[in-house]
Amino acid sequence: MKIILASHGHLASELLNSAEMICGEQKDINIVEFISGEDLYILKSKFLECIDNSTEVLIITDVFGGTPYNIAASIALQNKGCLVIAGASLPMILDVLMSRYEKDISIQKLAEKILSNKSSYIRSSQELSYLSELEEL
Amino acid sequence: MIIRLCRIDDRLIHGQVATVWAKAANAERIIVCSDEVMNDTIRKALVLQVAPPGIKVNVVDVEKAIRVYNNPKYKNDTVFFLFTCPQDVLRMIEGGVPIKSINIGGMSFKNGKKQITKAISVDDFDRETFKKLHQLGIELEIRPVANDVKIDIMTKF
Repeated sequence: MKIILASHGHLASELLNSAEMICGEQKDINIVEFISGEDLYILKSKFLECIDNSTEVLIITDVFGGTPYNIAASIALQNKGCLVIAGASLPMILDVLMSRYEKDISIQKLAEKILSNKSSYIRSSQELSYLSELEEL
Repeated sequence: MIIRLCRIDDRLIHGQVATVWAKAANAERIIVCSDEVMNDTIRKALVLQVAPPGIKVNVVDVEKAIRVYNNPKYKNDTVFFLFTCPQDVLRMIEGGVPIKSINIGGMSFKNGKKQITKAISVDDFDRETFKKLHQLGIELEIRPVANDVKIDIMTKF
C-alpha cells in the first residue's frame, strides 16, 4: 500500500516531518502539495505521478471539499485501487502510519478503521474530571 | 505477570510511547512504577488521561509494583512497565521482578546531568546504577522508537 498526503500549501510535508518525530522514519509516503496560484492540471499530474496501477493508494487530504480533495476524489472515482479520506491531522496520520502494516489490511479496511476512530483524534482536558471512576490495581 | 516491555522515559506517556511503544509492547496494561509520580497528583492524572485506547494504565509506587507483579490474580496479564529513572528499575529487580531488558527512551536534562544522546541525560548516580544493572546482565538499550537500531548505553559512558 502506498500513502499520499495532500494539502493546501506545505502542510502535508510538515505533517510527515512531525509524524516522523514521533514514530520514526517512514517509507512509501508521497507528498502532493497544492501551491497558491497553481494550475489544477499541474496538481492533477502531481497526483498521477505517484499512482501506478500495481499498488493500492490511500490519499489523505486536509479539507473535505477543498481542491486537493476534489482532484484526488475525481482520480479515485476512475481508479479502483485508490481511495481518499479527508480531515488530515497529526493524530489521524499517526493512526494511519501505525495501522498500515497490519496483517491483511487493505485501503478499504484502513479507511474504515480511521473513520471509526475519528472521534479519538480530538480530546479535551475536561475528561480529567472523570478519572475518579478509573479502576485501581 | 508477563512482562512485554520495560522502558525508562521520564516524559511517561507521550507521542512515541502512546503510538509506537504501546503497539510494539502489545500489553494489556501500562504500569508506571514510580514513587515520585505516584505522589504527584497532576502528573498522575495526566498519565491516566492519555492512556492509549484499549490499554489500562496504573500508577503505583515501586513497592506496590513488586506486590502487583507477584499477585497471582494478575498471573496471565501482559504488562508494559514504565519508569522515570534507572534507580527504580534496580529496586524492582532487587525486589525479585525478573526484568531482562530495559529500553531507555528519555531522561531529561537537569542541572548536574550530562547529555549523552539527544533524549538522554545522566548524572553520576544514574551512571553507577546503569553499571549495576549491566553487571546483573540486564540489556540496556537506547531506542527512541521501535524501528531504531539498539544502542547499548554502556558504550556512551
